[in-house]
Amino acid sequence: MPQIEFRAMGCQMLAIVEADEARAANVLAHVPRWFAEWENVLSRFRADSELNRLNASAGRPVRVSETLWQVLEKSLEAANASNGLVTPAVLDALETAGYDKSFERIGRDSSRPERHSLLAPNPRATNFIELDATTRTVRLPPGMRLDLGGIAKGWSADQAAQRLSQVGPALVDAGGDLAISGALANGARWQIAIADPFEATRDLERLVLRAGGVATSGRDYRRWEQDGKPQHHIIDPRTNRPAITDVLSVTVIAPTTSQAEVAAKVALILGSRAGLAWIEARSELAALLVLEDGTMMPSTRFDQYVWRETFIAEPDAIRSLTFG
Amino acid sequence: MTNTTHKSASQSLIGIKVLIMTLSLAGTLFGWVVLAAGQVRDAVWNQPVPTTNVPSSVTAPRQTPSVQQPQSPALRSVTGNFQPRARTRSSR
Repeated sequence: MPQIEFRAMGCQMLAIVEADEARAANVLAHVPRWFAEWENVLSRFRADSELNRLNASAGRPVRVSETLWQVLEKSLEAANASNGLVTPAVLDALETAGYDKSFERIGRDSSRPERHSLLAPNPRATNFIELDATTRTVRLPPGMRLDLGGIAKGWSADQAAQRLSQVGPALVDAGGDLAISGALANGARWQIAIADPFEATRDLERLVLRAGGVATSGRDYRRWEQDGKPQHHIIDPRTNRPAITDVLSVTVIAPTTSQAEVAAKVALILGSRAGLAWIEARSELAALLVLEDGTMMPSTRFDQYVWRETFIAEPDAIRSLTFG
Repeated sequence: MTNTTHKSASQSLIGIKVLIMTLSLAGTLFGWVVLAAGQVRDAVWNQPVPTTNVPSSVTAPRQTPSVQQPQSPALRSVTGNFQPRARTRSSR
């Protein structure tokens, strides 16, 4: 099946579309440019990104692009749906924990001096962001800076899959966040795997999915040391520190990739018991939690996505049954 | 007294005749039984030697059974080759 691989947003990207070679090649060639454009708007690691210009203008109203507006709306919806557990207002906390440059430049084992955030933890900080939809204008409270990291990636995967679906069924993998536009032409479901957080080259589980989003949030990869203490990139807004949790990684299946991204982060921050309960309370979600000790905790709806080996009768056997 | 003696000798002669006839009949029946047994034995021995069918499971290397084995050789796996198009993992 035609596909394209490239790097963007600090991650490995993959886009696949089921269509004839010529049409698929034509549309797939555009995908890296789409991601480059979104990255120019949404990245906090690009000094001249639109997001950084907005962050630098906190306290003043700023008219923003359609892309930034849409992702900002998504992130505020996420903050609302998660009671502030997944919020874009964690950039200061991320930098305080040592995530102040792209992950490739941090280096996993570099020891960095410990810093302390000057901002008090406030999961409801986004309530103070002012939005004016008529003029697409945003005003951040003074001192607030946003990070759209995970949700920007999920939104980008959803957008790309939707655009590719004009040509045929598509799958977009944005650094491990997957968006699937619809069933394959023969009605079959897409086969995807969950990488083992303890050994990324192995598959932990095999899934089949017709459409929707799958995202994994974990502290198995983006981690480093600061003043000898282990750190990771998932901030608990209640403490403004990397989340202390018994969960190593969470994979969520949801109607969209950005929803899956948010839900996976919530479950990881809440920990295994409360996290699984949060997932179970939402009928549109299914999840697999992997704990620090290797225990796997699937939600009740997860099983319906697990791949099962099935069998059919050979045509000869069918003929002999029919005609004797 | 004389009549009694004559009658007794006659009865003994009849008894001997019955005994001889009984023995003769028994011998004939025995012969038939032996003959029938021989026939049965020949019939069995003339049977073609059956092929010894060793189940393949005995000769084949032992394998770990899969969770769902096909119930008939007429069934085949349609998704035996799981080939994931992508892998979800924490961002990298």
